Amino acid sequence: MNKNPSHLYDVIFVGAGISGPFIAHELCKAGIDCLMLEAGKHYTRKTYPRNDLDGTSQLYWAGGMELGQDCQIAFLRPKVVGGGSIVNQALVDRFDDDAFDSWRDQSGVDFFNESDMAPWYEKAESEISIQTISEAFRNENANIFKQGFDKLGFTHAPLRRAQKDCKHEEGNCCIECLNGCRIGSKQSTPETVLKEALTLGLTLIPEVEVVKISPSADQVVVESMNGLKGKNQYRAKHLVLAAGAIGNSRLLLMSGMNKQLPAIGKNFFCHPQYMAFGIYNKEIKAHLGAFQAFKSDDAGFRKDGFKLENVYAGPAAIAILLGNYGQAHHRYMEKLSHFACIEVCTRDTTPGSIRVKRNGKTIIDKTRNKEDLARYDKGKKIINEIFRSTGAKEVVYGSFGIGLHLMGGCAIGVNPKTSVVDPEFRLHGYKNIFAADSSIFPNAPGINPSLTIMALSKKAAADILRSIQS
Amino acid sequence: MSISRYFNENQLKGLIKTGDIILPGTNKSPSFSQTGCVLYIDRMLAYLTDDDLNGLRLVFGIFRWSPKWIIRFVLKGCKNNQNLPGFLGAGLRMLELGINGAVMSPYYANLCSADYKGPKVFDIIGWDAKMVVPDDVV
Repeated sequence: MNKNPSHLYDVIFVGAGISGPFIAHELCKAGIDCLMLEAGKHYTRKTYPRNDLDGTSQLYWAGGMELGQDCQIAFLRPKVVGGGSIVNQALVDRFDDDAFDSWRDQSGVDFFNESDMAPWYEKAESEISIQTISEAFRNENANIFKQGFDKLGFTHAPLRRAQKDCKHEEGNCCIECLNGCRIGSKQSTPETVLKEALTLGLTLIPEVEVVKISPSADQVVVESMNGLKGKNQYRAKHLVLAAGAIGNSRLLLMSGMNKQLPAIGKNFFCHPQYMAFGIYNKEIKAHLGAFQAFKSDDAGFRKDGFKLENVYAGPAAIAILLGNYGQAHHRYMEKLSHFACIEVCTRDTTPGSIRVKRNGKTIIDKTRNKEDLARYDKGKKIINEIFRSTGAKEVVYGSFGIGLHLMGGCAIGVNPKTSVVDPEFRLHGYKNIFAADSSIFPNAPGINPSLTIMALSKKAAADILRSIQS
Repeated sequence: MSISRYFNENQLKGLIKTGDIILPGTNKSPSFSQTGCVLYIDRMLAYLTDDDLNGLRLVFGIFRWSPKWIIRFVLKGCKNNQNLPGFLGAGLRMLELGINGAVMSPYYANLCSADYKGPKVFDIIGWDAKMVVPDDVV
């Protein structure tokens, strides 16, 4: 609840996922008066949902049922304090020159290169613990991934995971952390920078959805809906948009800002991901222990626009992905402990778009062109080879794609006609509105975005601080 | 007293009927209705958008009165038209995801009624993931 509606904050953040807390942490250290509004709930280690039903329903927008117009891809958009850092698989990779070159070409932004971004990655990495999974704790799902790659001559690498102490020796299973980590090992923002920002004076109000912003020369008025409690208004000298690709685009569109910035909602990407299951005679128990230890690191895959990930999911998600029913479905699920899983993550080339209808409904247009489907097919074929070469009796492909890395919609760039955010992370033409989260991605990098969101947020925090102090 | 704030009796009966077609049970696994997991459906419905909720109300309301062969026909139509372009394909895929979500999510959350005495779903599928948490988090 807004106890003091007339209070003028230095900065309001819309969204408490990854970017917002990373920027707020820096600003709070400098004594800036910050308010953070988040549509999702603020769970703790004690209150995270305990099963797929509650996790999917409570931690994602639309209860995890957000679909594009053609219903080919299900978008999993986190709605929780901590955002993607609560529900992701904690993979933290730096982008390579291939990703940055394509960003620089498209955006005209010079600092998109490995050497200019290196210091910001270092600063981001200094806020979290990053580990790889030791051989002793790799489970059979990870071993199959490695064996298949070795047999077929593909290059793999250990996954860098944002985790501190998973206590695998006690039998802990990482799959349990997909609905929030109850032992605080996963380096989510509520366990790291957000926690520190709160101790430094950040005000966080969860379960508040921002529905409109009204910028003027010296302040921004933020209107929110708070469930049954109704509308509220907050004011700040500066605004940081950190609600992600769909959230930021939707808010700016609802605020009518696409008249000045026609690129809002354009260039939306999502790295469509497709899970596949190898079924073995032996027990795999892919859900036990550290199921993720490796990723593909093959130059050929990168060139072909996909990567393979060593992943798994909860039983309800797998059951839905199988796409079958009746006795046949039961027979598969009764063999679940014999499943191994690998996922193709494609670097999508078709830009999607985000629109808002008059009734306030968000419309996501995201199709896949021939190239996107060809990338999926190449990955699928290699997964089949990996499973077959390691003794799988059958390979089953998930019945639909999942969009977890939601990017773009407010792309960064030098041209206000084709981008929304300038190279200093300001909205073109607005000196007091900033964004540095995944919404500013110019295109799909083909690499997990979390660490780069953190690094860009660190860089943006320095720019924002300079702007505030001047 | 109804078990749901979001579905009426007819819609619940439609869900149970559809659930038993999708998950009819085997000699190892219980059927959807046997587990009593429908008791927990509100834990999903409470978070859906109005559009999605109303869509499911309509579907299960119709299925309540539909012969089983029609429901099977619809499910088969959804399954076989995954790559159909245009409005019809999108509609079938949305329908499939909505129906499967409503049936699979409570069943595979290992939830069951107090009356159910059979083996639990997690035991049947061999799901024994665990997390040893400190006492103050339990």
